[in-house]
Amino acid sequence: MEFSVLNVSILAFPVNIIVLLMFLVLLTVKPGSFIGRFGTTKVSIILISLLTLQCIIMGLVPQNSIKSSWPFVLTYLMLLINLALVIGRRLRDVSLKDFGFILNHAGLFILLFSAGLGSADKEKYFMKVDEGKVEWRGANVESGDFVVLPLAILLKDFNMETYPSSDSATYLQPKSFSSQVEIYSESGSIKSGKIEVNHPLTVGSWKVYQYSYDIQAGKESSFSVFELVYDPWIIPAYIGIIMLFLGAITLFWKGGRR
Amino acid sequence: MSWNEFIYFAGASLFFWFSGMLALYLSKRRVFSDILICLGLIIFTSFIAALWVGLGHPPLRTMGETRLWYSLFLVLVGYLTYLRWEYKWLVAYSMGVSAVFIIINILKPEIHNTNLMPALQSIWFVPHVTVYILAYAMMGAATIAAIIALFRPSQKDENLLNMIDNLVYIGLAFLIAGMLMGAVWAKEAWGDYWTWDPKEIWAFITAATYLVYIHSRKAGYNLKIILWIIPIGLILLMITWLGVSYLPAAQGSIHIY
Repeated sequence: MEFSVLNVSILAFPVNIIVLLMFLVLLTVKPGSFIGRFGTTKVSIILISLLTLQCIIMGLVPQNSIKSSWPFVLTYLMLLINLALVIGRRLRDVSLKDFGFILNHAGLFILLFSAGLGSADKEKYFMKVDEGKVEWRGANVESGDFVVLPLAILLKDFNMETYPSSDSATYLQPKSFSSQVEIYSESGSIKSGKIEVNHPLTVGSWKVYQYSYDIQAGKESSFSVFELVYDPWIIPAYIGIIMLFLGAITLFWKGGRR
Repeated sequence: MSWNEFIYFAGASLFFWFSGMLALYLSKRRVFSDILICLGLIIFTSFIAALWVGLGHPPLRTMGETRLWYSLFLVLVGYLTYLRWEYKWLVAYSMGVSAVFIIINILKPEIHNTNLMPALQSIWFVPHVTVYILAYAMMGAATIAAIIALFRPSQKDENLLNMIDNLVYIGLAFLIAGMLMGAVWAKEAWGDYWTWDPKEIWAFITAATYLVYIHSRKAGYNLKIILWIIPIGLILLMITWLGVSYLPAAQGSIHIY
């Protein structure tokens, strides 16, 4: 099954901000109007079902490109429109008992927007740094192109701990590996610290992850590989996640009682 | 404190938990079961705290240590859910699963040396898995109730329908919480909170299916049709939990251990 694939980068800033403003206008649409009737529960059910069916294909067919296909992106956008109308309708006559509803629906809207249209602004790079050296070029994860980044990393020290070997001493299971670094940003600020798996360093909208090292050399590795992720939408995404989490608590507490 | 003392603490906790469960079913007065279950929780928590001090770091680095936390959180969250919704069977279920983890920890001491890979050494690991285990229980129970409702001769049983909705809402709350904690963890460990990894795709499919059910109930659709969504949801949940590893589309997943 092949659909024409959408180049997600066409949604990058400022297009996503313009779309967001259009969505915000939708909050004011009258429920009974022509557009407003797209914001009913029945439309939500159809759209969630359509999205789910496409996800089932995505989860069954190896090597598919559903997630960036036109039908999928269109369903996703329509669900956002539906959500904006649903939230707008509820806000017209809002009371305190609606806070669970608002947390769930607005939280989902914010998260879906940040993860969908916001991800067009996301950039990811791999950076290999030798011990004692400074590196400022990264390889784009998707294209492999080398670019000069607004961050430079000095690798002061790479450390690795292994679990005591059980039988064959050929491969020691890594317990943890980490890098002592200094990160320089364009603005001139310097941040030093330790980067390890599950503990990235944050510099502005960038996060720097411990990605790899010289596997052959193991403990003696003289370089460290980092993944640098730039996501200006991460704060809104977290806001959406927190709202949905609180919304889940209200689902648990109310348990479907009307 | 070390693992050598585990058997005494675990034995005492299990004794109090199961007596508490018996009291729950047999005694009319709630106070007995409450005291017994809480005593068990306190004893188990004390062991974890003492082991933490003994090890000098939080016990989160081996498979055995992870099971230790499941044993505690399952009973704790199962009991809290009972306090809110009065499902006694959920207390029995969570104690049963907890006992299985405890018995594995006692009978297979070698797992205390089975180390976790660095990506799994995270505070999100235990809550992420615990809420999913409880979600399976709620959705399993909802499926049984839905099948009873489907095959019962026509009369509409409001109590049964309310219970089905209640189970699905609680289960969905657990599913969503598990997915969100997984997303935050993925951002820390893999650099992105959502990458459409096969496990993520199926977790989304499962949650979205139950979302269709609760919205269909609000829309007032024909019950004989929409009740079928619940058993279908359980099948999808099983695919997410156990089946993903066997799917050809999932061979590149980083979420398979």
